[in-house]
Amino acid sequence: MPIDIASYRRWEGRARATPLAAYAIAATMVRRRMRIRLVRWIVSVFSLMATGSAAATFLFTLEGEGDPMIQHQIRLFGIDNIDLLAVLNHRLEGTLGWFGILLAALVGAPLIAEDRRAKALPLYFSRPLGHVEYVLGKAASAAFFLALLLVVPRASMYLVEVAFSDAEGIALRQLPTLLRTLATGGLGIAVLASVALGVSSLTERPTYAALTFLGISVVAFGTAHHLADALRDPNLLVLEPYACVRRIALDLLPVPAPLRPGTEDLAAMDVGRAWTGFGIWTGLGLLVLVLRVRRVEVVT
Amino acid sequence: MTDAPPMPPPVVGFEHVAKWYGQVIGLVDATVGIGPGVTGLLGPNGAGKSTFLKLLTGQLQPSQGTVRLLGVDPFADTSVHARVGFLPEQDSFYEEMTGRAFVRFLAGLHGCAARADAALERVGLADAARRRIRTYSKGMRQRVKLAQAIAHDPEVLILDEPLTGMDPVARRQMIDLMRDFEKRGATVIVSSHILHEVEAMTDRVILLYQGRVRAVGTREEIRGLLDTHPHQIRVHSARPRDLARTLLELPGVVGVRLDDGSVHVDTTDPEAVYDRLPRCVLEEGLPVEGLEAADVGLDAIFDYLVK
Repeated sequence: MPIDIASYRRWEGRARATPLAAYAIAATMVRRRMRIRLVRWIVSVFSLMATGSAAATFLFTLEGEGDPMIQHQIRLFGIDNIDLLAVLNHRLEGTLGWFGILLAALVGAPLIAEDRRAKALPLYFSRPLGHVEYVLGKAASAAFFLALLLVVPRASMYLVEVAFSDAEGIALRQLPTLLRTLATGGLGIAVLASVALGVSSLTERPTYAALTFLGISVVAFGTAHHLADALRDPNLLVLEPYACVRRIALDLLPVPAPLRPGTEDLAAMDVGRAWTGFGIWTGLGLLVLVLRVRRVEVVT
Repeated sequence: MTDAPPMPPPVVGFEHVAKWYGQVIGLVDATVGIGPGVTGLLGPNGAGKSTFLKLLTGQLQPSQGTVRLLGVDPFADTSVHARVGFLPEQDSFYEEMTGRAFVRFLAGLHGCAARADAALERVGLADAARRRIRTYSKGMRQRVKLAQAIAHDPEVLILDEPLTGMDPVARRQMIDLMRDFEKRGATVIVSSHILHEVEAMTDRVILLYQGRVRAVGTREEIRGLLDTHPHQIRVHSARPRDLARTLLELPGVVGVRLDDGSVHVDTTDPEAVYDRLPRCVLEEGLPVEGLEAADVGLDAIFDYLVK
């Protein structure tokens, strides 16, 4: 088909750098990921998990009319409705962490590696786009998927509880708890996304990036727990990024009921160390990311 | 030849620019100005063309010297890229995206995603715009890269080896498109390692070789340089000595060598040799089994220019 110059009207507007460039990158990356069947499947599973969490909250809120087993747990833990969100969050935290790691490996770790492999960086950086916008766009797309896992279930639990609870003023009374749960979700997103993107910037092979991120997560988990047990020092759990987030979550959302089995070490960890560990892991990921993105810009 | 011909006020300015990749030299002491219109960047592979264009598009920071694009440093000031369109040499695609989604995405970074359809239509890819890029031919890939480069109607269009993989019709269309941009007053910089491609696109040429700007001038001036270059022609014959004796008498022949059943002729007038050879066969009975131009490659031309 010949080029039809007559049909191509000169654009009267002025080309400009847009502050929404990061959003444009994030939206496109999310759409691309959602075309992958495995990603769609995992997102669906996580959505079901969110629904299940919300349904569990609903059952707890029925007080006396719910399942006898649930009532038994309420008596056993000695909790009331106000504490339910904190308890459920605590019980979900470990599972969410591991699913978060899997999701970050799947959707976060390949994000920059695939750009390097496709030699797409010149297309980005020959545009009115700064490194910060590029990194923000990529991070936002990873955060979107992680939020489906780490934020949506928590928000849905709150909404269901508010919708079905008879307690007076439940929405306002639970709001601080909701904000704290969302904050812990945000911390999880920050540490997982920054480490995943940092790893992603180290290679041109998306699969290697995903496997390396998983490897780091597993090795960090094993090392932290082994050393903490062997040396009887729970503060060594700081070596695992998501353990820091879980400890901070426990601090933000104190659980009145007995702790989930296996989390005693976590509770014994110093919360200040947990914040330090969180900062180091997140900062390390961002540092590698910034250095590598600047460098790959030069050598592609 | 190093004297630059008169040019309009430069849109692009390189002043003593050098770029090293560790021990490897990318560009050395390049000083050149480029004004509106189409300018060809010519050089063999590894000459420094891509380094030149990456410096120009702000993807690289010069190790030395200053680069100016539309009056600003393109590495430091990314806003200038809003006025620039860039077609990279290598395929840089998300293969699973459609051509339309790809161009919309990149145009969206300029805030003009809605321009994607017009750009695709302009490069003749409207019919295939909704196909995935992985199904595109090489020529279609070049077109989609061009579409993303022109979607925001840039003032400066930078094209790195744009004709690679294109069929003759598509090449003609690409050249027409460049000319159209030229008519609008835009600056088009196009790199190639193929001399006749550049000749078809522009009168203004910058010659790069081994990281250095070897010559800047009009096509005629570069041609003039090349025409004084003794061309090498190799003629295979069973009687090379007799043939060499005959060819030595021709005007423009500056040297003859015998080599294993063939004659290497150095001549500044290759047409005279090609005219004479049939008569050698028909009138003098000298056997000619084959002939080849031994140094038509750009490398040989540049070798000559730098001696």
